[in-house]
Amino acid sequence: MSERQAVRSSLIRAILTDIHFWVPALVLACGITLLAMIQAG
Amino acid sequence: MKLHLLGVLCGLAAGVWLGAAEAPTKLVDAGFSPFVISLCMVAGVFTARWTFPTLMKGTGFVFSDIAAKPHLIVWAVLAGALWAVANTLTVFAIRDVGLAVAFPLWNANSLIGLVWGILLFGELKGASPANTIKVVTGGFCIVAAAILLGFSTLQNADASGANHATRGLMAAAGASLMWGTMYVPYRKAYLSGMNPLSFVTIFTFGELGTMLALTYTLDGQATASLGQMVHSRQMLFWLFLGGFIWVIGDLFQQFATKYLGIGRGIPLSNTNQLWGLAWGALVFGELKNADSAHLTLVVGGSVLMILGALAISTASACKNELQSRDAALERECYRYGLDLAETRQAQEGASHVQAGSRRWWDWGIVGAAIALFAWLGWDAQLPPLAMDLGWVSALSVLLIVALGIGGWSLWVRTRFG
Repeated sequence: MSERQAVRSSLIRAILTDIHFWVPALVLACGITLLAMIQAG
Repeated sequence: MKLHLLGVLCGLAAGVWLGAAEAPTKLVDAGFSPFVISLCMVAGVFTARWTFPTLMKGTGFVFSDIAAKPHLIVWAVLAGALWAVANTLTVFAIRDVGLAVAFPLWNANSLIGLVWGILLFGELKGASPANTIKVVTGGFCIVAAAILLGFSTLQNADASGANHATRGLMAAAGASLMWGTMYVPYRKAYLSGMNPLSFVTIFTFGELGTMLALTYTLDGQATASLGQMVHSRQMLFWLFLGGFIWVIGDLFQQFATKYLGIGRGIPLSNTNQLWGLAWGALVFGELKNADSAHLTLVVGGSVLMILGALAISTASACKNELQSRDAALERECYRYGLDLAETRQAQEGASHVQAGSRRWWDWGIVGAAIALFAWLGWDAQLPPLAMDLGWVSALSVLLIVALGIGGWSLWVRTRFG
């Protein structure tokens, strides 16, 4: 694995294990689901 | 100038500009799909981002800043998507339960932001009891005042939209949660030393992309509605103008978040309700038939909002609180390999990324964006709507003054850093 790939994969790992990512991501997923339910109404 | 004062000035300027952003949209006739109205306003925001904010820091600086912290692209896109979904939810909330019920719910977003700030970033940790009381009480005062001012504009509110009460309540609560959570990416970006102009750039891509996707997938009548809208340059112009004013307000809000944190910056910029009411009442005469009960709500809400803003403005962070901010900053540096010294400097408004000179394409981008605004506004006429042009002038002067004070303070203290 090249150095660049290693940096990229460690960055992705850092993002995916960060609670600061999951809180807004889950809220966004809930919001889109809610919007779809309301529109389907 | 102290950074706290700079943040307060930015928060108050954000309130003035965000409050004015709704005024142009009042000139757009109803009849278009909520998705399309939202999409056109977001398109205006996207275009406006490439007007004079591009001249504050050229594209060279912005892309160098983003390249130095590439992980924050994810958070900026998330923030834009959260804004777009929340904004669309509010349209449905108004439709289903009316403003009177929806308004208090989504105005609680700054309190949700405060909770996330405390839980995720250690805001107010180490703060003196007096400061904690000022920030929390000030936040509650501003939310309560926004609700009072919202009710004051609802003289003819009826329950015609209350057929789907549960659905409307869920939409309003969802919007509140999403807007309150949107400040998590804001805070993360600024703890990591990103410049607000860089963050807003990616934010607008996230916003526009999400609105396009939502309109395409969820709005069955979008094509016809969008076709009508595109053929009506005048309507597009007013929505784009609303987007332009919103971008200026949001930039000030971003700087307030950077220098004050979520707990202080967001309630201050939420004073926009006061200015929104001023435009509605003074320019569009929305309170001309108001009875004494409604006028009492206006006066009470305005006084409460000013007191809340005063409480937060005077709660300058002490040494212990700044240490807990530094601990949150160190976490970001450790996790994402950022330089601690440079990131600390960025907190003070200094940037290690050189601004450089503007390139020829910066001028080209600005010229194209301005040309689009000029083309849309070429034949624009004010619709036959009663407006007090004297108050339009007075409030426009206030906008310029707020822009001048906020912009000058940022330039002198941080060079828009």
